[in-house]
Amino acid sequence: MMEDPKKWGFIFALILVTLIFSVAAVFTPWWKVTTTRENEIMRLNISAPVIAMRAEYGLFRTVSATRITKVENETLSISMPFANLTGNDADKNALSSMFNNALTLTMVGSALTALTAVMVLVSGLHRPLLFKYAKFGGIIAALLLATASIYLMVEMPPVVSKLTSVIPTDIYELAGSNIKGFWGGIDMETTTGFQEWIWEPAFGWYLAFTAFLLNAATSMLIHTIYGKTRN
Amino acid sequence: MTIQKSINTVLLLTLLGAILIFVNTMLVAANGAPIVISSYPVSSVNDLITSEKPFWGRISLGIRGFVEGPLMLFWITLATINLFLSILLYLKPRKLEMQSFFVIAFSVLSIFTGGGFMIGLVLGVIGGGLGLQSRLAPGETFFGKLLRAARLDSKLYKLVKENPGTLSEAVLVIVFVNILSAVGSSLYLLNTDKILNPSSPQAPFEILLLGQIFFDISVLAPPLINISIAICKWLLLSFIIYLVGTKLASLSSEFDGIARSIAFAYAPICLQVFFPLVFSNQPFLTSHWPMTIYFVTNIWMIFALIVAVKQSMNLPTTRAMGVVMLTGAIYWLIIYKMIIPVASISGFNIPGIRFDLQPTELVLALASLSVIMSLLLGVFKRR
Repeated sequence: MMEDPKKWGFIFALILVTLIFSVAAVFTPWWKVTTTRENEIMRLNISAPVIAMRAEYGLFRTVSATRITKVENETLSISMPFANLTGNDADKNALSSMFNNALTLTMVGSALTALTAVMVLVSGLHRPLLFKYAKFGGIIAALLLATASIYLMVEMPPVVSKLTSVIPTDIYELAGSNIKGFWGGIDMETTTGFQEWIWEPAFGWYLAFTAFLLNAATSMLIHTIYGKTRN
Repeated sequence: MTIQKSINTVLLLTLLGAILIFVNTMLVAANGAPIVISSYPVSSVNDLITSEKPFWGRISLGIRGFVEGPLMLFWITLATINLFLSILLYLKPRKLEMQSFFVIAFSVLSIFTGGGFMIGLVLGVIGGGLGLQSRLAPGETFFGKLLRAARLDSKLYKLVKENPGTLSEAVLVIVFVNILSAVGSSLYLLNTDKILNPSSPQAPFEILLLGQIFFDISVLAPPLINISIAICKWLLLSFIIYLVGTKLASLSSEFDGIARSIAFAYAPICLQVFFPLVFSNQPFLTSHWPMTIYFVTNIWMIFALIVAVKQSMNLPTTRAMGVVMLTGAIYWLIIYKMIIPVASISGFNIPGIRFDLQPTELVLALASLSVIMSLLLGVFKRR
């Protein structure tokens, strides 16, 4: 027996979006250190050669860093594993293991989201009873994704702050001791002019957090629409 | 069945609004700052304020200072809840009033993250507003009537004229329109002042290039002060139309019926809330953009007035145009050449953006032209 296509179609669309978000979160950076946009515009008007710099931390334990200069062919982009950052080996290992844990949580969360999507599809087309399991699948996936993002938010700053430089030294040397939280910033006076740095979660972290909310919303929708009649 | 169909359309629009707000919020999260879209890149604010450059304008999706740091988590949560509520509203429209209230609140709050490219905010507020009065057909709700008024729906103006019970709604329209218009113009004026007479050298840079919108408590004063002025202006305009129609043109109509119809003709002025959406370089900053939006909304209102007069006095369109022209000229002379100058002399400056024609001879010539046109359009023809 096929369910009301309007209702389960919406739920299926929502869980598909959630799945896209959680899978995209695996491949996009989770944390970044970057010069500010204000700084970038201001440096365009002074003689300083460097316009902007940024470093992004991904779940696969790599840092991608870029230095944009006024002379186009001097612009530098590099990508390296955490192990090649400047700092104590124990701290770099701790950082790697933290990102590895977050990766595992996110991947399991994504797999459960995919399973939930399949259950919603099957429930809509053939077996409405699976909605009950889809609801629980969504809740567990939401909890895993929430844990991944909150875990990194809480655990990362003290570990990163122990690194000698949070940016590959080929690009710039920014001491880890400056990092006091998951979000933050610092103003620095350098030989090439004033520099304003900020660090904050990158898009991948926001995607994981949003996937958690969307999974929770999907489960609530299933509960509200099918809860009383099916369970 | 038809009512159910239009309710579904409204709920679908609300859902579309929620999707736009969600997408916009995620884009701002990806950018880590407001998304500032400008007509061409500039690196110095001085170029924009002092030199004669071609038109440069910028729209900011999101407001700087509100979307950075942990606050972004709050906006993402709000956008997701709004999306959830809108889907729920569409799939299971029960407890419609309560859900609609939250949809309106969340849609309005989304202005800090770009308001779903502004379209999402408008759709959310309209859809939520219709949901709040879900026992009525969408076209009979407050927002439904405002939309119909803006669409120049002649049936609405006739209905309003014939139904004395719509007086409270008419006053509400004036108050609502005035608040939106006054918030838009005072925010625009405050920020334009900060660009042209900056208290800190960073202010113009932050507004024009980084998408900041400065706000202080003084911005809230004009919407409140202007309510009484708006009511006076509405009553004055209605009274002039009533006098011209009934005494000069010998038409039979009740003052309250005319006043109610005229109030709904103010609907297009709501769009003045979008004044602070665009900031541009000089001279566009202080003249062209505010003039354009002011001009478009007022011309639109004039068309609505013609329909309102036509319906409230049972006139053919040409005569209604004549009545509007004549009353418009009289209204203009009274407001802009008598009341505002006298108020200014006595130290009472009416806040807001005004369309002030100069010199006085031009105003008088246009007023005379209106009289001649209204004569030709048959305003003074006795029935």
